[in-house]
Amino acid sequence: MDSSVLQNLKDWRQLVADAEGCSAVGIISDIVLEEITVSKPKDIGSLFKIKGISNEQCFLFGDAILLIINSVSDKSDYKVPNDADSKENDAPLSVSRYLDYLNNQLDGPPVRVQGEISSFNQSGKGIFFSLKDARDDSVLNCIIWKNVYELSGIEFKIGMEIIASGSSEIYKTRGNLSFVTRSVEMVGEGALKIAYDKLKAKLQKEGIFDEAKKRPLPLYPVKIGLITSKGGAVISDFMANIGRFGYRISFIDSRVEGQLATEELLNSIRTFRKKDIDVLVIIRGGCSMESFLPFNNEMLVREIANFPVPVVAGIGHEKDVSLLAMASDLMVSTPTAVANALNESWEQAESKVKISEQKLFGIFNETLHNQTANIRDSLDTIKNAFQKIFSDFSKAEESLKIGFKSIKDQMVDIKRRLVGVFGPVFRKFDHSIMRTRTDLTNTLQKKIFVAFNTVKNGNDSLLVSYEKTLTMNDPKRQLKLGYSIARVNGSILKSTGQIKKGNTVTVGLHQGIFESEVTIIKEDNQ
Amino acid sequence: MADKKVNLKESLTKLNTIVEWFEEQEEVDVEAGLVKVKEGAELIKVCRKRLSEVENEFKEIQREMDKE
Repeated sequence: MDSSVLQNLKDWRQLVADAEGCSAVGIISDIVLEEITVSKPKDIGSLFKIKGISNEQCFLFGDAILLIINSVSDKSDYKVPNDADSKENDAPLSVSRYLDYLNNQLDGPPVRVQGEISSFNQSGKGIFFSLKDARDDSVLNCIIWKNVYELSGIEFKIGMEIIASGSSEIYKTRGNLSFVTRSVEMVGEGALKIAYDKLKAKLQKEGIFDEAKKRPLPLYPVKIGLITSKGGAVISDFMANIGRFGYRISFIDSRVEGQLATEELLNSIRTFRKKDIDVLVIIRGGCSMESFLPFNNEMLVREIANFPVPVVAGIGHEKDVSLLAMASDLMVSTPTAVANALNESWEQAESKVKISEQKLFGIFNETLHNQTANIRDSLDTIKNAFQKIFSDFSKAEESLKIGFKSIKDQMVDIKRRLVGVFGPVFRKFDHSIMRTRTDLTNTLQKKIFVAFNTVKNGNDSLLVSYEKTLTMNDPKRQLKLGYSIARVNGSILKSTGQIKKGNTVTVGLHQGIFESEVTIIKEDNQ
Repeated sequence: MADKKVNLKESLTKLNTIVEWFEEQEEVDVEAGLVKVKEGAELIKVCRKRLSEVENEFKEIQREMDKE
């Protein structure tokens, strides 16, 4: 175990504890520090694996711990060539070689230096400024490249206290020692707050935070761009809560804390700008105001505000919401909430289907039920109607039967009575008729006989006279007496008009006939 | 994937239209209702299938991400 490393860690821990106002072991325990010293983690990932270290400790102190371990080990590395050089070779070094040597010695992990800006001036691509120590007027000459300066979002002013991160380097053509600043941060809650408020007001005025600018999350998002730190517990929270809806998650590992986070975040966002994604997600665990610094960077905020697809920020907040979150389309406080927001439309789709199914079959079943009930009612009505008809019929039949029976009885009764009453009458009547007939017959026969006899007797004398008359008038008697009957063509001649000259006339006499021819016709003169 | 997304959205819209039709009817005609119910049931099936299908695709995506 490197005791100097352990001591450095303990010294650092004491500083943090003093700042936080708590005990040293409250920050990180001795056992964990010893473990770190032994295993010498090179990155956050290895630091995480150390037994006893919490996620929060990694988030908060990871960078610092790694810096201490690695800066100590680096120094021990480049001491060796120095010793070797001095022992083997007494020959003078060239200026350039010496400056190279010095630069080599000066090169190392970034150091954070705090001071007050005492001067600054821009020249070409760099801004030259000096940091002054307020206690003893010590001065450090610094340079910051313009792109880094712009990224920092801090506007330098004389008298402003800042922390510059970087390392010193001797500019060989001038021999000046310059502290090359890789990132800048403001010092003190007050200053941070002022800067935050100022930037917030400025962006607000531009309408970057306007509600109207917020885009809704796409329905059923699939392609998700995810930016967070790989080592954090945040990503596992997110993955645990994101539903199984066929998401395609593209992930970019980025620091989310410290001054270097700004640049990494910016690059990550710019990378996703070129990718085909439905939604961009930026998540991190909740921490102190100071750790929000990267998310309050103006360039980062603008990048988010102009991002082509909706952005969801789940970066937590305490008193003040980070400006990045405010510029995003949806801000929630935890990775779980981000996952829920992404799941929402999918889950709604599931419940939409379910509700639709219930409604659809519910209404239709009700319809069928109603129809069935209608049919049943109709059947009942018909059945009742028929039953009534049948029962009425039965009643009618019954009464008819009774009626018939009574008619029959009455008829029998009438018959009986008729026989009883009219029997003797008829018999009497019969006898009367018989007697009357006999009487009539007798009377009539007698009367007719008498009458006939009377008539017969009276007529006998009349007949004799009639016979006489008839005999007297018999034409044949006349013929005997000498009369004859002339006929022509069978007809008795009564006048000359009946004959013509030459006609043959047949003359009947008492005992024969003869024929004569008409030769002369003479008519009586009257 | 994009097609499925559109289909899910479309299917849900169609399904919703059918449900609204039923809700609007004062007295549902059984014949017409049966046709709609059949159509709705088919859409429900399609949606359910979509939702379960994408669930299966999730694992593959996770593996792809792990490889990166």
